[in-house]
Amino acid sequence: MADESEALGPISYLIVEFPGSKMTGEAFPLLIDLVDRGVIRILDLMFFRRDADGSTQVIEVSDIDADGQFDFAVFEGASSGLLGESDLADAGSVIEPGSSAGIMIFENRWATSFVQALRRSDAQLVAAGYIPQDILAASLDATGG
Amino acid sequence: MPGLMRGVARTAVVAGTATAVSNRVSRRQANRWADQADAQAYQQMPPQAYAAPPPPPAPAPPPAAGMDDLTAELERLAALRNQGILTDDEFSAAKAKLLGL
Repeated sequence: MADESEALGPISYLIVEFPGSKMTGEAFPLLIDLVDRGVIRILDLMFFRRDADGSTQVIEVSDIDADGQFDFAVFEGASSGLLGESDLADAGSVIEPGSSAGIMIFENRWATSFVQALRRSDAQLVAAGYIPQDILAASLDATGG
Repeated sequence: MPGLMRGVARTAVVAGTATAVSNRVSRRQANRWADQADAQAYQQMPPQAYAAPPPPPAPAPPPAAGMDDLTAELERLAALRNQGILTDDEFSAAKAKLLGL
């Protein structure tokens, strides 16, 4: 069904900080693998640096000097322009000065069929989120686990 | 105890589908990124049936027949031959098997 294949999965965002702007690129082949396996689809991707004075500068992937083997050129073309100035400002506010960061908007393709089935049955996802590990640990402590 | 989902907020439910969004994003991208939607997607895999419960474990092999059992089995075979159910050859083969010959 065309409608099935065109449907969107839930959309998420991630902001990842690279303290001290140290980017080895080690994690990125695994990200590419998630895309190739259809687990996620990247809708937009942006790297930026937060300078010591607090200002943010967009980093073009062609300018990224990776310490490791990963070639950031693979990300050329990923940018869609969905992320704008206000997103950059919002993301920058949570990044330490002197660090770099990546923002990714992505589709959770692994969940698409599940979400569609929920919709077909008139159910709706009304909330979702991440639970930090320390919160989870605190809950386990509090419940005697 | 501390709550796990602090500040949970109800996501606004969007009526209808936004299928065109997918294509509009792709058109803004280039290289491999414009083709991501063609990746082998999870939702296109056939839904996996829930695994059937594992078959019950095979019954343990019967303990080696004792002498009494062996005698009874031989008598049963003999009776089958006498009733014409087993031929002499079949009886001999079954007997040899029973005796482990």
